[in-house]
Amino acid sequence: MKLLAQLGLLLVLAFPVNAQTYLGDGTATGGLGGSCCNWVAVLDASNQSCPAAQLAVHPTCAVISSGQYTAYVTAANNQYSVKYPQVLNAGIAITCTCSGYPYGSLNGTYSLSGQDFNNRNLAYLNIKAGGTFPLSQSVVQFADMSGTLHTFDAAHLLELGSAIQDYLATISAQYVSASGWPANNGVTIP
Amino acid sequence: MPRIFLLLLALAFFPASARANCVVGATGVVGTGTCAKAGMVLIGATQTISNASSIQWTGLSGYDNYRMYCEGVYPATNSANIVFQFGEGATVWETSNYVWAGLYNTYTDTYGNSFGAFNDTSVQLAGQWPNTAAYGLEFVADFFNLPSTVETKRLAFVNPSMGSADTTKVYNVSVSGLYYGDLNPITAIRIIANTGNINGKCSIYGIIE
Repeated sequence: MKLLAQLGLLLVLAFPVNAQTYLGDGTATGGLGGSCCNWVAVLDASNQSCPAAQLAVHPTCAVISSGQYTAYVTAANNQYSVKYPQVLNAGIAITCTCSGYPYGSLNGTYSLSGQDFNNRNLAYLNIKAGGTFPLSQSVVQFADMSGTLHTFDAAHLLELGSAIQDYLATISAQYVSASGWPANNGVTIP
Repeated sequence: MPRIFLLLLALAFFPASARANCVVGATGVVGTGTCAKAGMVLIGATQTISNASSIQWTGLSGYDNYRMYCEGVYPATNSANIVFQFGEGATVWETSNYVWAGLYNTYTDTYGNSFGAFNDTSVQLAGQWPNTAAYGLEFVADFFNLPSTVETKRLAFVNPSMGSADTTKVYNVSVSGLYYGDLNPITAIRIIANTGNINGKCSIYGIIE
């Protein structure tokens, strides 16, 4: 008897009870991104059923498996409406081979929105249109997202602008729906 | 001697029954009972969490609006997101159907940078945050009309945040969030990390109107 009790204790220690119940508004694959559901919730207790208050507002509320719940969360996180702002705010990681470049490293992660982006883009568009840098300077400095300043000549600012233009296209809704998200955001410029 | 006289005079004019209904000066309590015209009432106790799964309050009732103060909130896992979720009844945590939008800027910006998401699993306070106490989030959050069965439930928070790469820089971060899954009364609020545990110290107050 004592041995059985000890064995029971060992089993309890080895297999912790999952103290959660997952709820969803479907049980098949008709939900978000092929998951079970379009609404999910969690109770911090095991073996619960759908409470009356939830059934009143989600009539198809039912207990779903942890696997179904995880599949929903994965689908939610991969939605364009959730992922695009994250990808955009992460910036673009640039590696420059910069053979013989005299103004230091251009490696860094550059913003794709906000004021830094707009200032950089204005200079890029000006050079692209045959213009010059402000005050007739031969180089211009822009910060990456960590605040580190990098010095660009016209040719390398054009390379950076071109890489950003292509990357923004690959994370557009139209491209992503056809080809999926790009594998990573690392871009090398010459 | 005059001080004792004044004390006796005060006790005479404010009987014990009235004083019992007017708690001023107790820990975290601005004012309660019949003497309170407006103010905030600490709900439960201040929570100081170290490497736990959540900072949470359940069984919220009695107030329409709540205000939360937090300090030193950061994830146990590096680059985790810090997020809010609502709960209903006893207690169903809503983990879908959130929309949120935020802005941040620092002193060199002449306008804000936007971020947000639709149909998300939570409202995000901070994304990919370092698991370092030095970058702990200090913020105030307001939660509106939680018992309503008519309005969607909303929150707003302001976070004077440090840049993770520059401790001399301060960012003005604000986020508004909304749960649109249903209109049931909200009775619980929690702060979690999207992966791993969380650290921090938070208090929540009911707003006396």
